Amino acid sequence: MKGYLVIAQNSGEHDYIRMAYALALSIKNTQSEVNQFAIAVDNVDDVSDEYKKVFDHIIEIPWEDDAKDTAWKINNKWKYFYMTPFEETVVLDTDMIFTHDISYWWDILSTKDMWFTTQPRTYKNQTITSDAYRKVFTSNNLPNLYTAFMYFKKSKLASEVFSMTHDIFEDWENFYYNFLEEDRPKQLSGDVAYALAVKILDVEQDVTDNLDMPCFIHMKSKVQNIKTAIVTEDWTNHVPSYFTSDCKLKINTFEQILPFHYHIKSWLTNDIILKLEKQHDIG
Amino acid sequence: MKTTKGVLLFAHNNEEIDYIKIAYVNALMIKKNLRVGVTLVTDEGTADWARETIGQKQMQHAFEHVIIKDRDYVYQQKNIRIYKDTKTKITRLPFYNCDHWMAYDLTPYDETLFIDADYLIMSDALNNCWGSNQDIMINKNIREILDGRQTESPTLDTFGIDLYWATCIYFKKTEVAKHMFSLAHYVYDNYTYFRDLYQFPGSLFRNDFAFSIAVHMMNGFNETGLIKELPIAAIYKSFDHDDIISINGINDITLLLEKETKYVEFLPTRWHNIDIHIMNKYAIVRHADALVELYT
Repeated sequence: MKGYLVIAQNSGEHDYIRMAYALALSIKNTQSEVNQFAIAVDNVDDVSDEYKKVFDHIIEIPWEDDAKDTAWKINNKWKYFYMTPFEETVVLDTDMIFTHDISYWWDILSTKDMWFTTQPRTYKNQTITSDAYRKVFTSNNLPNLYTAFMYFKKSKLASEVFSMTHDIFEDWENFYYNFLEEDRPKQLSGDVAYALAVKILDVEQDVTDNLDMPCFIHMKSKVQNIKTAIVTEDWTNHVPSYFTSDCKLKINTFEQILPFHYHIKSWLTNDIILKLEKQHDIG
Repeated sequence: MKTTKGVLLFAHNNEEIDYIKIAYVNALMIKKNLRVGVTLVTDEGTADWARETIGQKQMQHAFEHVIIKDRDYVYQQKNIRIYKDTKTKITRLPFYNCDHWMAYDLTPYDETLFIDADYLIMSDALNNCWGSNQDIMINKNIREILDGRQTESPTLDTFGIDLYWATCIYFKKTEVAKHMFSLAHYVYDNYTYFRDLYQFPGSLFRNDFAFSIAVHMMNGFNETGLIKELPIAAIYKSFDHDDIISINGINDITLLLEKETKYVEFLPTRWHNIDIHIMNKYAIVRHADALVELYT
């Protein structure tokens, strides 16, 4: 069985379960083959009946909540391997939506045990070249991995990567101190932890490739191949977006055909969710 | 069946710029370098002027077809642009460019190179286009001939689409090419709307903008896709601040390029065997007779 998995832990500021609901709707609406969706939450009762209709699996995050004392809820991200209900899983960040069918990717993904995105795109569908948010990767020669779209199958290789990642999550300050010489992040980062695990295990060639997929549109504003001097962190200040009644998305005049990582949470309006619901026939 | 191929030029004079003279000069250069026929699209007033100043026989020698189209005199008075003859002369004049979308229907050729009259053909590089498996080719790759000089923004708007140059378009008589020109026509007809949507500056109608939007649409509202670039290194362009100072021989000219420095400084530059878009139209006209003599 194949499917998508997200962790959704609400923080004071953001309703991640609502975002996961929109993402699940968009997957159900667009994916012709693989559209199973699993959500991992603190407590199953946190999910409303309305939302439950589109989640195929609702999982309680196993063991204790590693993120209970943090505002940025990423500390459980090492648990994907242990909590997925699927044989083959694509892990997504919750603040994403799908606009087009990418089912054909799965046959290609299946050729590896684990596969990370390494070349996300701008909203113009250009490969991101800037390391504005990733100095630690370039300074320390880390594999340029993104976990916002990450594939794995139940396999020895994936088990090893997740196990090493677990160790890093548990003791990230020491790992950072011992393995990162420059631009050490001041807090735990999922992407850095996975990249470090892949580097330590020396499996980069096994978990990456040069193909155009997997990838996603990454809307962090300073990596859009645009002069950053005029750009603020909130991309919605600079470019308009149009979400049509048939759930197609244009950013400025550019049609978005890849999984779209909107990043700015306020972008997901109730109007967008209504359109997704309508297309799913539950509006 | 043998396919026909040739170059299509448009020329509509205004009060000062003798576009048809420029087209006539370029037609001779095209015949010399590309060895294909040239068709001219013009209007009655401009054609009459050419008969008087260039001569009927000379025009027939340069152009295998001359197509006369009605001129929209209302449009002409609305589309005003700045023309410069180096920095010594700056004039605002009508720019009659509203009919380029008609190229698809007007061309008599199966394969057409549709080029601006002032894109002087000084090589046979564009012969690489003939027989292409592409339906249409247009460049966004443009190069300023003096390194370091600021060229136009590569996008219509900072956050927007790439700027393609309608200076030179190759197309075949196919449905894909037909769609492209019909989209450019649609943009022309709704230019204010598209200016607001694509956020480009100014009120002057530019075919570069219309075709850029058409390419964007043909590419599925994306940067890349169906429409490819021409098989040339780049479209080279000069500035209207520059001047042509001598014609040295076949495909060999010397320009005086203005450097971007605090004080006025110039750089003499020999330009040889490479096609070039001359932005100072006055400069071409000044040297037209010398060019005609060389290429006839």
